[in-house]
Amino acid sequence: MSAARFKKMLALALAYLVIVAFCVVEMLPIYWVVITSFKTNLEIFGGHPLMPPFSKATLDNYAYVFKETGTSGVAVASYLKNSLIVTTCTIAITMVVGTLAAYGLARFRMRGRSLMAMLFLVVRMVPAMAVGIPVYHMVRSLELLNTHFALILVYSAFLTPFVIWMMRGFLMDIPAELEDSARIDGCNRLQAFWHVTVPMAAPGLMATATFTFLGAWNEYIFASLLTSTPDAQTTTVLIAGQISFDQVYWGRIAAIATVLIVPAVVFIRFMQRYLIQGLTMGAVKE
Amino acid sequence: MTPSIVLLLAVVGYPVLLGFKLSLYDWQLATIGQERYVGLANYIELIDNERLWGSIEFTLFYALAAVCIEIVLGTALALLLNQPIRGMRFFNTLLLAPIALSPVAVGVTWKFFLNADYGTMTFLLQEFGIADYQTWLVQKSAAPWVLIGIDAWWSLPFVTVILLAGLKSLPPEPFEAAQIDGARSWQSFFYITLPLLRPVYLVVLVIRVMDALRVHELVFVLTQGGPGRSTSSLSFLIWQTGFKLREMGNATAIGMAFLVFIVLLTAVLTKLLDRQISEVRN
Repeated sequence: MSAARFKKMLALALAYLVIVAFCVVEMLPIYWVVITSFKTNLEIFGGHPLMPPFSKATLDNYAYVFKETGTSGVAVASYLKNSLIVTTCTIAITMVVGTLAAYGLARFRMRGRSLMAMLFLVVRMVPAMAVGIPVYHMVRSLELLNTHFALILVYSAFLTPFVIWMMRGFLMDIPAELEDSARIDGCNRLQAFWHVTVPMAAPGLMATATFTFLGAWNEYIFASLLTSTPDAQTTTVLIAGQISFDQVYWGRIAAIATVLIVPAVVFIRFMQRYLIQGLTMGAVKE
Repeated sequence: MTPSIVLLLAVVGYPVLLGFKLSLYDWQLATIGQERYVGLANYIELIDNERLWGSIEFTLFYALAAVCIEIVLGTALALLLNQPIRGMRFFNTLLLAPIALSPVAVGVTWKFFLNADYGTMTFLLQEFGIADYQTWLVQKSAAPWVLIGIDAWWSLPFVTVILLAGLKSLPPEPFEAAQIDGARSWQSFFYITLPLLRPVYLVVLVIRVMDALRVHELVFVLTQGGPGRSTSSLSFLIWQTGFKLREMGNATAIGMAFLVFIVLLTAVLTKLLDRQISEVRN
């Protein structure tokens, strides 16, 4: 083997090593949470922290967190239901409102297009906590504290600019001529939009909806300010509230964390193709 | 267009105006409806509010350190991942998982992981014979670095994935030409790769800096701003001042000052970014 070839092999082996190490470091805490949720306290505090529980695996933690509060559980199901309601409604509103606005921006010459871009960026960058107190005050005077509606409204407002921005990019890639020919064939503008443009933009719609899903599902700050009881609190607030018990019930909290994490990790697969575009607000395309 | 503008004005625009108004009053949660007008007193109090200056210092330090680490390590990892390695798709897919995590979930996970007595970190340190245990989260000098480390752990996949996409989009010609001219690989990296990737770096930088500046959940879950006030971020300070110390007027004033700072920063960066984005697109 020539020296040059050997050097190349060595470099490749080193690259492998670093990449595998990186992936292990990134995955280890997530892996740990999932296996811990299936362990008894004896295993958690006495056993090897990184070994799966094997035959001693238990569903007790899940049974407990899904039990009703009256029977000394935490009724995680109602928090999950809240998360689901808020997330679903937010996706529905932002996708309809945002896509229509994006369509307008992509197809018609409109004044204030760059203003819209600026507005979008500002809303994306505003720290939730900076405006948290006035939002709280407003929601309180509307007597909407501790309702799904308040969270849906706030999430929709903060995520709509993102949808507009993403969808505008996707819609601009679809030639306007296709709609024009549909209109010659007798469609009106709305029909042409619905029957021609929407199906072609479907992958982009899916990707954008997934990002909206992550934004609403993982949100904590507004949820913690605007909700206070299991009637409207979301799963992120439940977890943060449980940490005061962290000395004792690791398995239970790990179980709640797992039910929060898993849907998000599964969902992100759906948009792998558009991941870069979504993460960079359309600034970088793969 | 109209529905989205109405939504934005009502739910984002109105609270901002309301915030400026509320920051001119002395008020608490219990006394809503009996706010007392105090003019600019809340803002004047901020000037010698030591907690605020401490928070500003920590927040800037946190954002700067975290983003520097992420950019440097992210570049190294992206360069490695850009090599013709088998199984790259698999690694790429694995690295998506942290991007999908909720900040609260990240905080809770690491809180357990770093537990002094039973945490996996202590276990690993013992296993490798490095130390008997660690109490990083309760040490004033270590706690900020723990948070920075967790931020890096969480965001490194994001930075790497985007820089990698940038690398993959580069045209091969300049590199071939450089190779023919006898350039070493570090030379083509510094003289070709970096200048060509400038717009991508800028996008990553803007997003990461803005997200790091508003850190709240990690602080809330892991340290509650402590030990002492060593990890009190601006977002956490606002929450604490308003909902723990019950000084809503003061907290609103900090929030509005923070907001103005972020908007100004965004305005400056948009100018830069706009130019760069159009470069990427063309």
